[in-house]
Amino acid sequence: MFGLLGPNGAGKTTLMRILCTLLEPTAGRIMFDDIDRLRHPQRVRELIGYLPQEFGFFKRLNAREYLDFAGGMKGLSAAERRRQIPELLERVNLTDAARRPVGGYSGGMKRRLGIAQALLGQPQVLVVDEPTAGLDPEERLRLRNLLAELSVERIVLLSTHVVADVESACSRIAALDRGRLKFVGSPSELMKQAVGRVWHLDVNPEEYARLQGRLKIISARRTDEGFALRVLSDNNPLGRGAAASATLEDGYLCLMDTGPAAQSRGVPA
Amino acid sequence: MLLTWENVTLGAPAVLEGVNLVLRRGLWGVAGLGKTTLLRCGAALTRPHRGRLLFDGDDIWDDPVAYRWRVGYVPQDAEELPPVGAVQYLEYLGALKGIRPQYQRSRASQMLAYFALPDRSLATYSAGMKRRIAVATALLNDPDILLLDDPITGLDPEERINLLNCLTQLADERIILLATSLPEEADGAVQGWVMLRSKGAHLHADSYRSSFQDVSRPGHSSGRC
Repeated sequence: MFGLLGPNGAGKTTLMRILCTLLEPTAGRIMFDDIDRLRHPQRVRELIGYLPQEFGFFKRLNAREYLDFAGGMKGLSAAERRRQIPELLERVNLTDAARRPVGGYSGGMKRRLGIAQALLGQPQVLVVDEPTAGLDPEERLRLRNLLAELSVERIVLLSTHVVADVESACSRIAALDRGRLKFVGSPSELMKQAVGRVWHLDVNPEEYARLQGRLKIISARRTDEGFALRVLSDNNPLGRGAAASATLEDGYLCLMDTGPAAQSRGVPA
Repeated sequence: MLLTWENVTLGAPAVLEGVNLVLRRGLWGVAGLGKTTLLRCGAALTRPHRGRLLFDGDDIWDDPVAYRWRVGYVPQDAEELPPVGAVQYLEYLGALKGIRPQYQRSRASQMLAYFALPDRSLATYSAGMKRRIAVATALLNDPDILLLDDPITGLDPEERINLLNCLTQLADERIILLATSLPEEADGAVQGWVMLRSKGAHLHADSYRSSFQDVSRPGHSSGRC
């Protein structure tokens, strides 16, 4: 499984749409083994399953009917659909709900049905665009595990905002920023960017007001005395920070380092 | 400033059942099942079937209109914005929220400055900017209670950090309830978690991870923070 990170507007969805032949690149080349994406888009489509970010369903169809329709659109024969659909429903754990209308599904169930749809035709590459957005923690975990399972037999390309999504399951990660590739490597390499730069720091309200705009504050929690901060800094902030262990997200923030937030001080009353 | 939930029950089958909470000013996370319903109750948009909600000792349903003036509520799907300028938009909403005409423009500009938002067409706003202006809208008339339904979903880490840092400051003066499906991402900012379970709610003045472990222990049916 390969993870694709980047801020909103970095080009993650655009990259995925180009891979999936929905958008033509201005220049460059993409190869799937020896198949040229530009010259043989139809052959590439047969290799790829795609789950876009926004995904529409026919609310009154049940899961089985929906997959039958989607399989037909993909050109699968009726016999092939009859064979694949029960297997896929089992795979995404929707067999019990397969006869209920999709309109009544939870967000997580819809995503899993979307993945079943993308898997019709047994694609060798699965492209999923922010599949975990809006899911609760349990559903997110279930979806991550499903994708990890699927990646055993195929390439899974996963884009997300939630750094924790790629942490457990992806062996390699790429980070995009404003259309450019900023990083390719393993999660631990990305995390290394923040090692020695993460600090815990307790400050009083006056100090907090002073530090804003000067320090990169990752989080601030109100305490009885002031604020408990977690900050990114090359040097020990105020000389009394306590070194903290770095997370993958800290590494990502160091990579994307945009400096302290341009937030004004003082709360509007 | 205290918001008190007394045995609040809503829905058949129950979405909220016997929720007892006492919240003082601060930034409180809400996680679990029924987040939106809890927030809608808190905003006096949905009336509980049983139980009471008290703000500083007064039942909010004695005078829900007066109570709503003191509440800012940002629903989950706050992304649909008209293609008008940011100041114009906030001025308009300020007028609806009862800000006197001579203060509407300055208040709008002040909110934009606080949330580091540019005054340009809302059609050009990024997802993070849209969430911040939604919170700015809810803050226009300086409410005592701010209810935010999943404001950090869909934000990239940078945008999420900016929004949470703003909320930490704002929570000095008001009660903020932040419902989220990404509790671990908000953990560094909130002072405690309201964990909704099939029966009741549990309030923990602690990190999400510790709270998660705590709720499995028996004997927690309510919380006070």
